[in-house]
Amino acid sequence: MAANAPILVADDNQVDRLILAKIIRDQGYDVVEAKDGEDAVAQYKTHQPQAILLDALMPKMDGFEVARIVKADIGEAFTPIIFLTALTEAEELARCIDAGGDDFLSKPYNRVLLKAKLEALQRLKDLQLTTLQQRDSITRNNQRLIQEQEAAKGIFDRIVHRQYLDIPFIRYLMSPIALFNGDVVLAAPTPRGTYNLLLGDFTGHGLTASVGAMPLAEAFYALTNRGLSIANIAQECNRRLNRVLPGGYFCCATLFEINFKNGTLECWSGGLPSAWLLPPMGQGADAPGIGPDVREMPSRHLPLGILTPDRFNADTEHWSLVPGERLVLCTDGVLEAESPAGEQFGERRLLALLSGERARETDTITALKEALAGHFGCNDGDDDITAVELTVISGDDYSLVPTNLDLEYENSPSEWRMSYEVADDGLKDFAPFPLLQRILLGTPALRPRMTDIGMVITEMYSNALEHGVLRLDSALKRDASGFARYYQARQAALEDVKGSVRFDLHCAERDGVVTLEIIATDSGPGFDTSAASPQNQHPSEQNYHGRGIRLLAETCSLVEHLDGGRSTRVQLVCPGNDPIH
Amino acid sequence: MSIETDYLADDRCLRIAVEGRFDFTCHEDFRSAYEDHEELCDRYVVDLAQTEYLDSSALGMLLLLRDFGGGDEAKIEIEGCNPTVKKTFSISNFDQLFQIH
Repeated sequence: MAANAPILVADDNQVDRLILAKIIRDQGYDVVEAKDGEDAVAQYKTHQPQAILLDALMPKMDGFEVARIVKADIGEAFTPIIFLTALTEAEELARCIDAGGDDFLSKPYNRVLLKAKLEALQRLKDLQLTTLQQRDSITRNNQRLIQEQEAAKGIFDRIVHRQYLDIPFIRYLMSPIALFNGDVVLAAPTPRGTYNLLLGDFTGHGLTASVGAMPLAEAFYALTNRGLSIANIAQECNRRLNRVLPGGYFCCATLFEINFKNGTLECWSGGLPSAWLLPPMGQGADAPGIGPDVREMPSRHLPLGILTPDRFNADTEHWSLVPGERLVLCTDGVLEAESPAGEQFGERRLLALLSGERARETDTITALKEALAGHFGCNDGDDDITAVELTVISGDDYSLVPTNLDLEYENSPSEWRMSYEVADDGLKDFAPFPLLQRILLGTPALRPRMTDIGMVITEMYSNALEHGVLRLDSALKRDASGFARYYQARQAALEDVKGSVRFDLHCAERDGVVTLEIIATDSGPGFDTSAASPQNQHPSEQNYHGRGIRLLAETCSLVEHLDGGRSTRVQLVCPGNDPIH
Repeated sequence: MSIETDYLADDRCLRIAVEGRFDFTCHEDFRSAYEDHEELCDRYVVDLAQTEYLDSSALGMLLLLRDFGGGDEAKIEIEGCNPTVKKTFSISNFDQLFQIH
């Protein structure tokens, strides 16, 4: 409706109508006239007037009915209606307003009063117009922001969320409070046949939190793909976050490397609530509180991003696992989830849940969802709630999980030899595979078996270092508490380690079949090799030692001890002409 | 939530007491509590005796105070923690950065 639209004057009394029209024209407005109610509706539709002066009592259709029709039709536009009335009863005047009138004007007309009313209505109209324009502008901006956020979320999701969470042994719960989320769950298989999992909780929510998630995810995936250790990954994630996060921002996180083949777990934990190891579904004692079959893994370090790299503590802990056991962890959003009465879900409820009957008959994520729904009532939580459950499967089942390692490499020959030796201080924080993988990946025939090769090299190195150089007794690992003591002893012995480990690799091709020979030699005194042959191992579920040598025997076409136990030699056969490469 | 400051006996130690919930709503008040006294103190006591609850953004504010007070050289003691607050410090391992009583 244009600003110079006319004013409609509807009055069945011709004299009154003419007087009013004249007064209004004198004030510079255009006027259209209507002689009864039906005519008023018709003129309204034709001229879309900027204001309507309406006699209450008219033939054919009274002013109240006209007002209702007009107000139902005008939508968002502001077309003020002023009732013209000789009525003076308060009830009658109120009826004018009820019918949709914005004001009324008593007969006989007062020129000054009418002028003032028209001006007041014009101001209201301007206000209405401004409000509508601002609303439309806010709506447009909001739509643009939503579109941008959705596009950004697409990028974020491709960087942060990968397919390795949607596999049978992982269950998780994530309730984003906004389009972006302050919590991240990252998971990926390593090239050493193990599986890395990270749960992180950034301070704050939404955009600030998710911006930090990107460098975290990039570091996690890149270093996992290269086969680096959990300690290395934690160190790098901390370094990147320490550099990019503003003061006062950090990320509570727990990182796990799970080795399904030999039933072990390595963990770096900083600032998240304890993780828990629960007995397999259907097992466990029905006792109040936390039973001996539930194990707590408390947080050991400060969150990621707080300490400068030189002060960061990358110490990890090692745990033994039993098939079917469940690893459960959550962010503090679960503990701090508030009921409508303001009561937090709390650790006590979580512990009751984890050790309770429901968590034995179903998975903990289902049990947790039920408990939280009961706690919230109809009220949603105001923090990011994230929980993950990982069920320990057998090494054979894990080998069915597809790996898709996204690595760069250049082609190199199938015939080559190399030696690599590390000694003394170099052994302190050394992992051979990330380094050797770069060379191994160059030979196309080795790529399909890279996970096996990674696992073999890692096992051979552990044996050479721990039993050869450090002379640790693997019999310590026969039960869960001995297992922890073993890794404490390993850490202590590495403090002033003297000795060396050497790898000799020989890759050869014959009739299209590539064979990789790996010899690991340590500086230790050797051992009675007759007792350590794969045939003499008696694996049982509670036996955590001696698994390494069995793994080698299952994976390699040849395993032998040489030089009085100081060297181990294995061969892996890789059929060439892989159609993919 | 309310924040009060005063000086302890030796005059160079600023005590910052937080009452009620110590969370993101305290951000401005907590920051001005120490920034307004920059030249006047070289040690801090954060008194949480009247603090019911502390969230991760409060941990962030303590880190900012630590940076303000000289980072690794900052002298900050945290006092009067109730069991809930103590638990939050112990999960986040902030006892590795602050003296917590």
